[in-house]
Amino acid sequence: MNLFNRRLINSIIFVAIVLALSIYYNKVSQTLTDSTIITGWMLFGLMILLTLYNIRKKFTFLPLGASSTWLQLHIYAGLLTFVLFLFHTGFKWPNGQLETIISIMYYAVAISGLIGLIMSRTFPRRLSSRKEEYIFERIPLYRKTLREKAEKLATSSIATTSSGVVAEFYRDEIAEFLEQPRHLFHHFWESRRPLIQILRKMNNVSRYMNDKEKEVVDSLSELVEQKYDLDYSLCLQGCLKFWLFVHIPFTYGLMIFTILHVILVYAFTGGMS
Amino acid sequence: MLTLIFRNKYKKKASASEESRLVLEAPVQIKITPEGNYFIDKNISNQQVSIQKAGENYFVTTDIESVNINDRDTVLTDSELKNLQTSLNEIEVFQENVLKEFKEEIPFKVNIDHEVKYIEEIKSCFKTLIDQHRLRLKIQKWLSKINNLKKEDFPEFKKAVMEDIDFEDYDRTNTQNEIHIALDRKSRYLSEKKIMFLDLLGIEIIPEDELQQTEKLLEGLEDKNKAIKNLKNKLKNINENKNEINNIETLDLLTKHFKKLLIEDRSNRTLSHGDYIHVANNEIEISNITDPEKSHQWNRPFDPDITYKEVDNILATVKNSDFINESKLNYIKQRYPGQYSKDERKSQEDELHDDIIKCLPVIRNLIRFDCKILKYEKGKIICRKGDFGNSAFFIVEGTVGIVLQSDEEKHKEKFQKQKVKKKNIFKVIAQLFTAHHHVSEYRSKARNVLTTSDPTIFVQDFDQLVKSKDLQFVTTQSAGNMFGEISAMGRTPRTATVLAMNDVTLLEIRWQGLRDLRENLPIFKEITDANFRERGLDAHIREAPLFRNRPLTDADRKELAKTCVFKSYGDFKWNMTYKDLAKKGELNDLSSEPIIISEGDFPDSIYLIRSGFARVSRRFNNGHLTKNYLGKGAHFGLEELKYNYENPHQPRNHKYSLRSIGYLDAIKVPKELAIKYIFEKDPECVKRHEENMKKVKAGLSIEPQSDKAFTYVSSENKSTQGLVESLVGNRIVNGTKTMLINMDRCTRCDDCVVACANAHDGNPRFIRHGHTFNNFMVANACMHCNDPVCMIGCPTGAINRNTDGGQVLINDSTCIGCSTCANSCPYDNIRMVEYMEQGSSSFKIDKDTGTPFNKATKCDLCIDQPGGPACQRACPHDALKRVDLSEISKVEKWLNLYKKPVQ
Repeated sequence: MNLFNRRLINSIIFVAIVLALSIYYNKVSQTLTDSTIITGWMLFGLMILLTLYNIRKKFTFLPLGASSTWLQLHIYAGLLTFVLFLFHTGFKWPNGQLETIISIMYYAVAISGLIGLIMSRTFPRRLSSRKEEYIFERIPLYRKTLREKAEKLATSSIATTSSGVVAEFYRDEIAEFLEQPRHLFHHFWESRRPLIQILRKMNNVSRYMNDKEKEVVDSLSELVEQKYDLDYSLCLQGCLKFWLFVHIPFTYGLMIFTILHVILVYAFTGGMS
Repeated sequence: MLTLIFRNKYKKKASASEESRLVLEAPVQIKITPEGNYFIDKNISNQQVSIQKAGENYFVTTDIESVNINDRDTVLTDSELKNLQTSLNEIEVFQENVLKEFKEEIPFKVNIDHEVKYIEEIKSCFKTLIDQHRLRLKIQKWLSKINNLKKEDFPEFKKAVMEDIDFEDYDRTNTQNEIHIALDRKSRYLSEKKIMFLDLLGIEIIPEDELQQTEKLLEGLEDKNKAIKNLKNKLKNINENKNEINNIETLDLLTKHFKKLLIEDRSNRTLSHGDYIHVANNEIEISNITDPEKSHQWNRPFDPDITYKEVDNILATVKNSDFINESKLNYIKQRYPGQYSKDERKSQEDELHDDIIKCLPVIRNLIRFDCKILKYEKGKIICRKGDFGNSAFFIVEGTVGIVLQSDEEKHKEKFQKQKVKKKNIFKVIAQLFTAHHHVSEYRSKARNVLTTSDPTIFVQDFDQLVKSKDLQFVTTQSAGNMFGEISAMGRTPRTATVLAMNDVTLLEIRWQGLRDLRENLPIFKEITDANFRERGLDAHIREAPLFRNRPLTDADRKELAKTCVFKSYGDFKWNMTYKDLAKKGELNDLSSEPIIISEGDFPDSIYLIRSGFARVSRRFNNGHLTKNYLGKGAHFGLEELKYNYENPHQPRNHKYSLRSIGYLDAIKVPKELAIKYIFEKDPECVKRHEENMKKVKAGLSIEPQSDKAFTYVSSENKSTQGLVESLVGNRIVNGTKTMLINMDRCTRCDDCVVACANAHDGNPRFIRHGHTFNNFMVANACMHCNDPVCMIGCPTGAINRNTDGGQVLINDSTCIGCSTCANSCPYDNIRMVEYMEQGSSSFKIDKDTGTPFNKATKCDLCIDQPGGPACQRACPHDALKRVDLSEISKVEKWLNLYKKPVQ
């Protein structure tokens, strides 16, 4: 099935379920019945299902179905929890301390998940639009190689051009840029401003250079562009990896507090039923 | 460091007195004492064998006696060698009987070392024993007198003792010292008369009469030794060098001498550093091993139970088989075309015979190590059509039948396969706890061991089916004949199903043995090449979709086989040229691809693709646009020929060029035969073909099955055209399970790598990196190619194809880390890794070089995992897929998955 069609069908099913839930919630509300128990258990069930995806990922070799199917389920079930969460809280911010903590955690998980989803769908395309493909773990090594190449160019230029201008320019303007990841925030927003600034500086200084020196500066500008791409890759791949470091710990925290919440609800609802 | 390896279970322990020297002239010649029955073991201690290098020579000090074999002795014929063996066996049996009798007749109890087996040795041992006991008797006599001795008489007594016992004769310094001490004590304390007795070592002394009796027995033994010498004389007649025999005095040396001759004649090869020599029961094995880790394919024989005796029996069968005799005659006729007289033909036959004899030692070893004897009962399946074969079969006894394709399809359920064993759920879960995540590579057991075809499946009701003609055979083959070599040599699936017609004994030759046999024996190469062409042609014509609609009779097939031409294009080892082209960046340069048909040529035949890939292209601006590429089972030229047949006055030329990508086998069907067998008998063929092409384009399944091999690249499909063109140009179309990653969807989460590692003891078998075409990456994961060129050079056959699925696998136990496969893989998908053994916490190190040993590692497609490739299942974003690029329409379908449908 085409992925577009899949999304369409999944969305229709999702909307249908949300509609059904809304009608049910409305009906229950009209009868003045407490719907929180039902929505609460539904929410808890869905949360367990969502957490299971992480466990499925750990058992990669077990024939538990394709991970992509699980992810689809995870996304739509996740969206459904949001609707259920609103029903469960009655579209209000809770007033109890525990409930406030749970709400904060839930929104942290939901928002990080949503951001993660958006990044997962948009960042790969941005990454593959660049010339080179870098393995995340090897980026420091690539950076080191680039820096060494640039250093070599700059230092050898003293001998080849009989002038220290290029080397000095490298030391003052480029060395720091090549040493560590830079301008990550700009990369996140696809901005090329820092690169243009460096290249402009190089262009400015090359006015006062002879052909040999210009040649070295041209080579340096290539390396600078490569480094910029490298930082871009680091930023985007980093985001794609590290959003999970927010999403997963909050998920486990949320599960613990939710279990506590269930216990407390049943401990103090004895007289209500 | 050279290590000699003893493989016999009887090991002789070294003793200082028997130490002798053996000279090895490195690196080209090794001289080794042909000592039988015991060999140097890899576990032997330094005291037993020491090896030093001095200049160009290696000096090996060992317990083996030195025998001068510098002078080349006369080479004996095979029959003479057999006689020698028989005679030597007779002598040894006689010798054993004599010794047995002797042991029973000795009047006292004595333990004879089991290794003392020759009469000369026995005599020498007993002479020493008798002398020892006589000395002790003398000492005892003198000691008995010492207590009654007066002090003044002592000097005279001591003098008499020393004169009576000549210590010089005996190397018994301890005894001598003891007597001296005793006499000195006596002289000191004589007055006190305190010394009572000196017990010499507490050994029981044999009485003189028993010693005399033993001496008589030894004399009798000498008489029997004369009888042995008579046997020895029998051997003189068969050895031209009579003086050599006469000079050999003792039987053991005689034995050694003949064994030496056996070695020299049987091996008949230059030995080199690291050669492994195994001498046992007059059998000589030579292979090149210095360390089991750097082993040769022969280090682990295909069939560990096969013996040289069985090898000789098989060779005798071959020698007398009609098929071989006929092949020999054909070979001679081919080698010497033209008319020759009887005498000339006889001398040509003799020449061929000599050539074969020269190769005999190698052939014996090849059969011994690279073959397996298999026995099949009547009705058992030997191999199935479509299975991937790693071996060929030689019929030693019985008859086999090649099943008619239509009958096999009719009785499909009777020919069903056994499923490949996968890990059960408990084993899968156990992986969580048994994986060794702390090491980079861990090898705990032999994996992916080369297997033979499943021999356990019977065809039910075989007799009845044959009787009722429900099961018919294309042909039958009997003893002396061979089958399965097409698949083993061509790295292609079996072309037919073969059944045992009666009780059959087969010799299964693994493919690397087949390769070595072809290299060593030109006649064998000729026979297999001829079979390859003839049978390959026949099998392909039988299966070709063009002819399948109208079953051919035997006469039709014969005519087609006779007239059609079997042609090969490109280099069989195309991976080498591929790497050069890739380095130069000329992979997409079509001029490097051998051209079969040029655009504009006049059509005069149809080409059927038997194996490999061909590119169909046409000129476009200054380059060539790939219109299509063809795989096994496809054909080219049908439409043009049909058009010209129907419109003889307005003929058309070929619109497209046909080029071979890598290596290609094709069958050229001439126009006349195409008209006779296709256009006249089956006028609808072109229409059917066009309909099939449409179905293929739409990714639908078609009948017959083999038509699936048609590939189709839609030139109208601009979005995938470039990608497919790149895949063809880079020969990635060779892959059947290529890992394609859509980089527009891949989040670089490495879940695929983690999943792979989890399924393989914590070590991933691929790298998520590789060439990128458009937005698709072909990752460095084994593609399990249609034509796995990585297998070509493997010296041990460790890399092989799974019989059932055709997956290319590496057998860890026989991989010697030579890197041949890694270097041969055109796509860099095999890696060499250092590894640890079970129980070890460090990498296995080569003691010679101090560097770690390597083993080849690659994707095994999670063959033992229940869910299939873990990488594909682990991808959460539908970005990774293992695709069969020979079915490009399905790939296109997958590529279109990501596109918004056009309304």
